[in-house]
Amino acid sequence: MDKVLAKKDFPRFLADLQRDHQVLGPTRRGGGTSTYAKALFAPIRHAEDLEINYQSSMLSPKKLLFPDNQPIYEYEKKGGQVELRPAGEQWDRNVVLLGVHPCDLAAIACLDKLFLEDRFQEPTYQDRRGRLTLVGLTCAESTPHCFCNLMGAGPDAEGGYDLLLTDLGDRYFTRCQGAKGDKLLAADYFQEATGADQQARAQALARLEAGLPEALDIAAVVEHMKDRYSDELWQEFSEVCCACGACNMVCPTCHCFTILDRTNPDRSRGKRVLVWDPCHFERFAQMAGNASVRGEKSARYKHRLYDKLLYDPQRHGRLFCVGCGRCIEFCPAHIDLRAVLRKLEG
Amino acid sequence: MDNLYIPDLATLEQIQEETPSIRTLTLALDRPRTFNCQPGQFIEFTVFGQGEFPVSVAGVSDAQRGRFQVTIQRAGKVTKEVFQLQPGAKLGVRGPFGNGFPLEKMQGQDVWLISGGVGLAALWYLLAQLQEQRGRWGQLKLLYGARSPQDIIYQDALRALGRDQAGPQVLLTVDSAANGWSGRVGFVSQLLPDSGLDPGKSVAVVCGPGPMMKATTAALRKLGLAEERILLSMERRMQCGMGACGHCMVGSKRVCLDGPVFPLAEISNLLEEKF
Repeated sequence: MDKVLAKKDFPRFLADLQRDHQVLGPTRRGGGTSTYAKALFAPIRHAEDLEINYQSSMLSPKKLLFPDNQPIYEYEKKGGQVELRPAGEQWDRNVVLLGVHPCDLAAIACLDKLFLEDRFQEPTYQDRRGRLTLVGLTCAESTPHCFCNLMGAGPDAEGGYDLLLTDLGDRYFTRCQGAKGDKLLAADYFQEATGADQQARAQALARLEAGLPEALDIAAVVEHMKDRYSDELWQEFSEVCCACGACNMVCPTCHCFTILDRTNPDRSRGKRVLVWDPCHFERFAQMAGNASVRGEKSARYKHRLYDKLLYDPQRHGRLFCVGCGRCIEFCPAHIDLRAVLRKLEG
Repeated sequence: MDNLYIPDLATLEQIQEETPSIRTLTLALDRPRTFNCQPGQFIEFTVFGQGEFPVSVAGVSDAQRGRFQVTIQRAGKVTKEVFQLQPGAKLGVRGPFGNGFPLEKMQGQDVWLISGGVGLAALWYLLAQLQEQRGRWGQLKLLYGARSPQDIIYQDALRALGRDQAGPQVLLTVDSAANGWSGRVGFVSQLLPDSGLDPGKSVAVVCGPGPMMKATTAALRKLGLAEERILLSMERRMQCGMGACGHCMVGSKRVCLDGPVFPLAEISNLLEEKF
């Protein structure tokens, strides 16, 4: 179902969302003490907290659904016994994530595959995902790093949202999927979308698409990768890689983690935590006695791309790169994944 | 909702010193539940305040009461702490995880168990099951290599097996002999050419350190054993045990879910260091 929401009514929409939900959205707070100002997904209390025209955020909403450093349980040793207390931080309210761009919606769909539809359910993710309403927003403009179009994840979102907004100047075109979205669209400030609205939306997205990288045959890339596991190209691609793990941390689909104990000095009490863990770190694939399976930097670089473009799609039926461009933007060595993909395409 | 990261508490009942750096622990779950474990599966073992690591189940002495054995080698920060433990200690257990050995595929075949070092522990529960259902298999053989005579684990049990007419034939070798050792000296892979393996009706099950696995698979290929008939029990640092954390990936395979037991044919192209 398609409707439009006049921008003058947006505060009413927001207030209605806030009545039944905690609303999280892009805010200006991402700059902090840094000179580098980026939007940050955080609680929206007032309409002016919302940085709805944000270009991109440094960290995707993954951080909210599958937090870094999340406590699992606390233990305490007492006279030969051990007490365990679950310590997961559960959301006590339903949550609306507002203003999620199509690449990040696609990334949440990837995490759903892994954390909900694989052979087990990730408890924190499952709990939070069940409480979540997703209000997406197509981008007003692309960044120099974007390539969602190459990965089939944008500029329009095919699914993975309850509502999807598109800015049409004085109004938001609002597309809806599923029962949660239907319910929100029932409010009287949503008007039926006209043919002119549909056309305006299509034009806005076409303008956006024109600013994105020229087409790439991702199926051909994947096909070529199958024969190029031992290719020296991987050496070339990763030559300047600092193995810093920045791409892992900002990636909206990277999901690898480690399990650590944080203890008091005598280790009698502590907390077990789940911490994001970059596969670019040498010790990531270490085994007992410190033998590393992927000691070479190029092997780790290669493994990450194979996982996203071959292994995960084999298991879950979709690419695990959504073209958000964060790995390009935040790579200190300026490795451009788009250039890598083009080399693999030919 | 069960949180799969939270371990069950278990009590350390018994410690068997195998070698100066290897111990076998008998654990019993505090809240007895059926410990439904297939040979070849592993658990995640927590020493509270130190951390967690994956280890094969070496034996299940009472499945109904959740009593089982693990054999642990001192290798790093957490396993080192295992050597400070005394009976009565409270530990954490998650699992068992993984696929285990495909017993039905081994039916009617000769089974060669080939292991090096503490790798024997991963085959020990399998051996117990093979013996329990002796009629299902052809010849059984255990080939085991240790660094030196004092590094041989399960010494008493191995001696007893050697004396048992109905038991598997046991072939031992050590990398370097010491005084009093009259057995074979050399790598376990060197025992293979004269072991009488019939590639047409045998399955080889291999577990040990990387170089041992490499040399052994090479020797087995040379004898004409097909890659589908070579089963490897892989070691990786499985952290979550559920296929999410990424640590145990071998190419596209997740050792914790798809393994730890793989036919060589399934992973020979995926290994970073080719076998």
